Amino acid sequence: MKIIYHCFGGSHSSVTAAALHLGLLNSSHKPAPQDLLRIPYFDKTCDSDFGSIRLMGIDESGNEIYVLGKKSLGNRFSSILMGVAEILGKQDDLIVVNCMTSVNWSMKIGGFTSRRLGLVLMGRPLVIWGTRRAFKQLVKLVEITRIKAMGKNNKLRAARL
Amino acid sequence: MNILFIGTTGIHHTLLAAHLYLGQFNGKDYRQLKFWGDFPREAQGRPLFIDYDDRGNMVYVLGVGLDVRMAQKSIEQLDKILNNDPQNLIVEPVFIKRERMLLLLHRLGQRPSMQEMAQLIIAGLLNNEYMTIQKQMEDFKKRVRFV
Repeated sequence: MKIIYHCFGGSHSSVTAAALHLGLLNSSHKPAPQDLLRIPYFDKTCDSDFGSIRLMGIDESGNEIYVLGKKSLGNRFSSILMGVAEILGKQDDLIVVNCMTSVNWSMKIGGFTSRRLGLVLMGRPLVIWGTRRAFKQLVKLVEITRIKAMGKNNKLRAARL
Repeated sequence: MNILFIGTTGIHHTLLAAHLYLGQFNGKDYRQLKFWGDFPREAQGRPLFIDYDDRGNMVYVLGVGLDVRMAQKSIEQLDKILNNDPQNLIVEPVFIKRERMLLLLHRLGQRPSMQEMAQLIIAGLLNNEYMTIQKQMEDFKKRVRFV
């Protein structure tokens, strides 16, 4: 199973969600700023990364976890990717998760300042503050995704038997 | 093999391109095109199946918004990630000169009261771009012949 977390830039909410999914962050308490900065890709992407599906790791069930920045394509991008998977006959192998629902204004402004304007010293603290505020929502999103993945994996296993 | 034509919208120039590729359109009445101006279907965000070409390939169209190149990159990477045979999907972007104008009209056309007018202007726009799209499809046919 492939799970793709996507957000605007593919460097904050999606990366945090993927890190939670992979157990790189402890879901039971808010991460410290250094914990967030240790996550691969967190606040480190550039313009050429837009549209790139990057592997973050493999979870304990063998699911491959990816992140993606899709600019302002919104939730439509989930439908686009799922639609393409459908025409390839692989819709049961894919889960696409839009993380924009968990993004707050601090993350938007901080992310824009840090990534687009390149003012890392100004933007990074704001985006970290915003990510910590959105943490609970991201934990919920990941839990829902894990349940979905479990259901899909069970369905796949049953189909194979 | 699947052929996916992508563009800012999937129900105008991209649709015309797909029909030109299939050799199913040579008139000027775009309303004859399957899915022409079908906003509800476009809103679903899924590829729209048009028909099989003469080699049995399935031809689809998909509207992806302004950043067509970025969407192409994601779709091609997704194809690789899903461990698909690389020859199973060809993603072909379709461009016209007035992409922004088309997208603006497309957004206007989503309002029922503006739909008729928007479609007429889009048809006019495509009349001016017809040769460009036809040329793109001729080049594409030559390339796809060798795949």
